[in-house]
Amino acid sequence: MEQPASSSSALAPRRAKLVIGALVVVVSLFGLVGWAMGRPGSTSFYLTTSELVAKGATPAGQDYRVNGKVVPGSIHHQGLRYSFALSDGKKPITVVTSRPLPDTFKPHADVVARGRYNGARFTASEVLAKCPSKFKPQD
Amino acid sequence: MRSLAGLGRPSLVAALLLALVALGFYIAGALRQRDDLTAAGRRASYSAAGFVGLATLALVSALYAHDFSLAYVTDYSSRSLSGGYMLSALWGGMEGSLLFWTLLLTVFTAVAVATASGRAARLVAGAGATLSGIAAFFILLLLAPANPFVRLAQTPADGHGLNPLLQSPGMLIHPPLLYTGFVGFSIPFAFAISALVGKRLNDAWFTSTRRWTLFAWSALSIGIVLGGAWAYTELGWGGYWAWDPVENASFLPWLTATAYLHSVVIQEKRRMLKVWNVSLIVLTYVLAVFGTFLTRSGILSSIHTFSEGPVGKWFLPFLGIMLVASLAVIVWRLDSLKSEHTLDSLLSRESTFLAQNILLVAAAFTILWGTIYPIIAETFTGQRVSVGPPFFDSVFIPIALAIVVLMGIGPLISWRRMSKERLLAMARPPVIAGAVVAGVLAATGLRSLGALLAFALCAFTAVAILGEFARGSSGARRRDATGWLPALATTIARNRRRYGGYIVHLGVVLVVIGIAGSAWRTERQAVVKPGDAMRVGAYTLTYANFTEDATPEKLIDKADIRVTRGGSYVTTLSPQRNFHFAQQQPQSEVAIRSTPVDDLYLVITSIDKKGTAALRAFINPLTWWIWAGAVVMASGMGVLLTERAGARAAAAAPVPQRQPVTVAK
Repeated sequence: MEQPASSSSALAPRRAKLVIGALVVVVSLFGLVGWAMGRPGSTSFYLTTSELVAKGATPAGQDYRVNGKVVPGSIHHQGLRYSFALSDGKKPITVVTSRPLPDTFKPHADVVARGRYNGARFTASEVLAKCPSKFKPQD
Repeated sequence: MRSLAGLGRPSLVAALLLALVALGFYIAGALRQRDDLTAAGRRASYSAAGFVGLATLALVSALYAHDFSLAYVTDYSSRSLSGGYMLSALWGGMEGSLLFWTLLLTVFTAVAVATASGRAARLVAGAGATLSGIAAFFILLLLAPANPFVRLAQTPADGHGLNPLLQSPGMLIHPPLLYTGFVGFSIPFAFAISALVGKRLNDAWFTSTRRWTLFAWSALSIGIVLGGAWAYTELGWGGYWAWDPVENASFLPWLTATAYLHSVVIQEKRRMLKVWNVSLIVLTYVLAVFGTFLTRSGILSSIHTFSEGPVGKWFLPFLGIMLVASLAVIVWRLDSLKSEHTLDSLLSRESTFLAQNILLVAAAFTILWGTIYPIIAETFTGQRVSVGPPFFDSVFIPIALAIVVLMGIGPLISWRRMSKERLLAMARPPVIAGAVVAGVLAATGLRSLGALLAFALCAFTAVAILGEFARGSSGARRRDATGWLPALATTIARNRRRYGGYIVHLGVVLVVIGIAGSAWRTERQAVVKPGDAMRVGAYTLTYANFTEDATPEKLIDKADIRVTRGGSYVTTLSPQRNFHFAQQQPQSEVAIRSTPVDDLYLVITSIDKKGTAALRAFINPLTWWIWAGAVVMASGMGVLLTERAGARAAAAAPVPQRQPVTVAK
């Protein structure tokens, strides 16, 4: 009749081990996520052009994503280097880039540029079409 | 040709009624334990599948008949769209893809309830009820917020056409495969729920649905790889995976399903991890539905468009109810889900499976976190934030490398327990292989720690797995006195689960090698006129010729690029920049020369009337091995799927439990 007691006491260290193991897993998982979130380029603010202007120059070691529509008549290029104005309808900014532009790039196109703003110009390391996953035709 | 579009809505209404009738019969059959009621539910399921099929046929016929009175047909097709791609317009938009999803669900349901036999037959009523309930929800979506049969007030002369990016052979098979995978998981999910609710928690629910799980998982795996191949050959940025939310959405259920496929083996063999297994299949299914919803709701552009979006409003409560109800059922049955055994030793195959499971689920949670973090941040701070590839690479690469190691340790270690000395002796050749590879690569100047580790660990695992094939077939060769190849074939054929799994693992190793090759990636960009030359890596690219052609659909600007290496001719590649008239949009057609050593990848990002082109050239070393690895994985899946039922029962036989030690010291 002593068996149940002995088996429950044998369970205690096992349960403790399980709890410790689970804690180790959870803590290292949080550590990994925290470390990865802090790495350069992992997260960036996603702003409209007027929010960008209000926020000012990009701090060192960060980049911003800025969303707006391409202003008609503002597209200029020389070789691989493009410059165009992007606007959310309130405040336009000038974007310069020598990276390839998305296929849907044209006046009025809704685009997202990733890069850095120096207070006057936004230097983009990437220009993407807004939400390329939405395969809805544009009107 | 007349369109059958008029049949669409009535068919869906009939399908909804039949799904509800089926639900009623299944519940009654389960409650009263009456097979005749369950059989009636089964017949209602067949009819529901038939009517959803009819509705799908109606939409397909409307597409082929150019019935532009339907908003869906106008939005996603045009007269000039060629025949095969007309079918891909079925899943080109949200409404059509939900209809296709529902078709798969009802057809899979019909097949699953028809074929369940033996001990699984008693689970049919509960599983049928679960599946009919889900089907009713999806049909309801199709009748109200995602109706593919909405008529336009005025019929336009032509449609907007399908997004040119979707007009690619890959897009004919990639979405159906993904959906087959997503929807396929509903069968094991439904049988698990049935087993839980009916308290029939022997192993029938997962052994009888093993083939469904494998089938869904294989389809999803191949679908994901094809998605990568599509991105690589169509999108023109030189890569195949961008940690885009849509990609993540398909990867998340794959990770948990892979964990589930492994952990059920532990339950079969050791009657352990029961709670974990039902939780994993629930998680997999919820993530699959979440994936469908994520890709089809507009949540990705902003949380606001999502909650205002008509489908999002329906999906989120549905997801919530499924998750909460499933967890509630698990908690309710917790008593019946106790493990019958415990882990004997840390040095056992069980513990490698367990570690692999933890890693896969950890990977799923970190990727889920990165995917939904923008939504969380916007909800709580009002500030929109985006999470980029560096986050996902940072969390996933270490986890993936650890999983590669476990795939190598798995075959070396035995079930239950193993002595440290024996394990070290078994591990010697693979460890030496890994060390040699790391040494050689470091000597040739590879400095990326991640890539060095990846290649070394891949060598370790490949040698460990190949060693297992060698041991198996050398035994068979002695026994049957045959040559190596027949011996290898019989070894694989006799133990398909084990060796099929190893083949899949070898494929994964090749995929990892292909991905790690990106450590040597180079890229050049230049503006070139016909006659100009540019260099990328060891290749010289000469712009030999420019041509312009027009078809009814598009204007085609083609640059012929002569490729030489060290003065000798290699090939001529012809990237194109096309202008699609229907969409008024240019699109680049990539030109790739793929070899096991490297891919030369050319894309024109802009071009003018004289042929002056902005040319972007990539050298992607070892990318070929990703696709080769996927083919190896697929053949392993083929071996797994052909496992016979008898062999399945034998493989599932539990490992004998040791007699409890009762001898007094």
